[in-house]
Amino acid sequence: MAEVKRTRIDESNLERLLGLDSSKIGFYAEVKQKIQELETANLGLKSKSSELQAVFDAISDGVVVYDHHGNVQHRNHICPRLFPAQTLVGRSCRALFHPDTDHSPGQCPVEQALAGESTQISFTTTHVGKETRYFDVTATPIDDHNGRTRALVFLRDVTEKRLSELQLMQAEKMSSIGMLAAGVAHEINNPLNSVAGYAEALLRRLRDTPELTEDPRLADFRKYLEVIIRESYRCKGIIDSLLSFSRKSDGSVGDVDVNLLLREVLQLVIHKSRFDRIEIQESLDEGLPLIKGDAAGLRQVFLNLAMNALQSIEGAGQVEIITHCNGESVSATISDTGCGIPPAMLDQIWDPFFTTKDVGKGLGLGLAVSYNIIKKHGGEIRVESTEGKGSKFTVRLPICQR
Amino acid sequence: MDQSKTTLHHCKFEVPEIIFGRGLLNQIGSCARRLGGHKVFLVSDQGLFSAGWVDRALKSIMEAGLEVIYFDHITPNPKDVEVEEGALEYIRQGCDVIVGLGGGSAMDAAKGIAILVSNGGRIRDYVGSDRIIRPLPPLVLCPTTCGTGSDVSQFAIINDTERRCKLTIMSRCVAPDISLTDPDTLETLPDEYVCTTATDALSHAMEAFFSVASTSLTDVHAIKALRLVSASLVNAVRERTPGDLENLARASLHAGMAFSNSLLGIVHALAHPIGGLYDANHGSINAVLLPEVIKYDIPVVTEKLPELAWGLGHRTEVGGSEASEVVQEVLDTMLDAAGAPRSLKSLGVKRQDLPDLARRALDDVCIVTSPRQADERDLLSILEKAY
Repeated sequence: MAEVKRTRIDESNLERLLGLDSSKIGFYAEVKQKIQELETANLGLKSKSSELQAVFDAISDGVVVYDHHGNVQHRNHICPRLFPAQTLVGRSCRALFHPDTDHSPGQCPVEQALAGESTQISFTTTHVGKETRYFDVTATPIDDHNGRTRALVFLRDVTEKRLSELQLMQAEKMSSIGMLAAGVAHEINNPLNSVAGYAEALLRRLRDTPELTEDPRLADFRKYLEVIIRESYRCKGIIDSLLSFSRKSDGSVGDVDVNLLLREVLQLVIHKSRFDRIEIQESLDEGLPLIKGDAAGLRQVFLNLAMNALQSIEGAGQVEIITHCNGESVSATISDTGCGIPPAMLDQIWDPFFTTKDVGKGLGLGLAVSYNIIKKHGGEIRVESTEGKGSKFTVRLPICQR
Repeated sequence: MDQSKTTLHHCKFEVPEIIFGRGLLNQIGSCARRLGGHKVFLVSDQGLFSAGWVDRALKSIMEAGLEVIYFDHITPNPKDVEVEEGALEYIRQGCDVIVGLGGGSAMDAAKGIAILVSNGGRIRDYVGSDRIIRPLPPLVLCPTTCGTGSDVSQFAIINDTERRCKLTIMSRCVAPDISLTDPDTLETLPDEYVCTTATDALSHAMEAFFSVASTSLTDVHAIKALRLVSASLVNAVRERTPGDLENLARASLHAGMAFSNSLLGIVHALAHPIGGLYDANHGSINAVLLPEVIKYDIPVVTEKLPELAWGLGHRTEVGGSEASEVVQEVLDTMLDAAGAPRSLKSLGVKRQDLPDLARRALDDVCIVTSPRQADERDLLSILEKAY
């Protein structure tokens, strides 16, 4: 039998196994910690969401989020300015993109985004009594937290950009004509100089040589030569005005004499008026002050208005050009006795690509670009028209640039 | 100084909320709901399912308006892999309260699952005391045998399938929130289990009574358990009268409360490695070892023997050496009458494994509170006597 020994009580060990401190772990500490974690996470979420909201609000384009049914879920503060009614929360994409049909998978950017494709389209809005606006639309699919596809749509108002693009197109057109003209002009100028020079020499001979003067056979020569000289100089004048169009507008602002511009324009269009038996009357205010402006741009405007006036007249008629100053602004009025504009169209004539000409005859950019150029000058352009009687366009330009 | 009295200056007695009574299985649902659960993970075994008790529990849970997931992929002496499977299932199903219904195996499996779902890792990471750092999900344990004590204890015993040993996890955390005993469930307990589980309760009570950490608070319960077992064990095994079965269930509960707060001794220190190596019935192993260990302990607990003899149903006051005789004799008689196994050999233990088993027992936490010091040699001689 082994030696009998009582167990030496290992107090610290027993304390560990059965002591006061050994007890069931409660959830209180954990709950407290969880609450703290949640609060921290909540704060984080709050700051994150306000951060996102700030970003969202700082976007200068309209931003609309469509849910997977194609109804507006969110919009930023820009949307109410652009499309107050169409982007109301809950409205369908139909309101904005295809008012006529319920579904338009082929065209509606929202529906395409919901089908998982990013799309970009442009569209224009026309409201009666308001100017046309151009929008670029980008629609991208995004997932919501349930994994369903939503559409994120950016609406960017690109009217300004689009108009300046159009203006550029028009200016390019003008300047390419000008470039052609410039090439031709130099080629024609030299022979014209010779013609005019020799005609003047002949005229001097006629004047200085008595026997030639008195020769009855040469009686008409002097008159003929004078005509040759005058017409040669008229040609040179036309060529010079053409050359002035060949200088491309770079938007630079300088002193502009509106009368001078109008005369240059008239020189270009006068031949057409002769051909069409149209009488052009000028009544230019010679005391007109110079204004600050972009000469090339304004030249385009007046050319456009003059051409429109001439083209509106079938057969014989009259075009009247009047300039006037009222101390604050200079106005130029171009009126015609042409076909006039029907009242229904008065709102639309400023729209780009609006034209009454046959296909291929005109782009319909003229008035839109003109409107834009005058607006940039801080001026205004107005029309009064009676159908069948004629139209009157008035351009008003401030003397001092704003 | 009297060395046998515990020198702890203070003591602590901790038990879960305890509900005991016939027909109370129908309270499982409301218990789970009281603990804040919405989806119950019910751990039980096929035997109880066949007996119809699982259906009773499921019905109670559904009537309480809770969802329930039933899990019974467990075997006696629950294995670490079974527990890990259960934990995965619990998490996958999103349960939030665990109910263990069954014997020690089902309840310990439920405890193991509870540990893993809140603390993660593998069950072997929690071996020893207080390795658990996070609170467990609410736990309701309903014993359906008359011996385990797992429903009030801070122990969970799981078998390590790789190393073939018992993993003893000890933490107040694995004590359940509610212990619910419905003695009716004993009616369907197979005969051999009545005996073996009751001997488990018997060994719990005796070891708790002898433990160096025993106090008057634990002794009360140990003695009460002993009186109930000695009064009802033989009758319960032979006649299966409901009253005796209920007494055994009560005894199991008292023994559980005692050993939870005073721990055990050499019987369990040796029984755990044997159960790990052979997958033998825990109660049977205890029945074999208990008389030998009592014999070994007696010299150092002489002053406790009279009370023990009274607890074992001996009517007259006895003292000193007479008490030791009485205790051993009563114990032997009771075990024989109940038909408990009396040798390790009969349980399939191989003699060549005994030294290894003795060595392993030294590492068991139960050895700490044994009243008499034992080294490897002492343990080996106990095993050989019990062989």
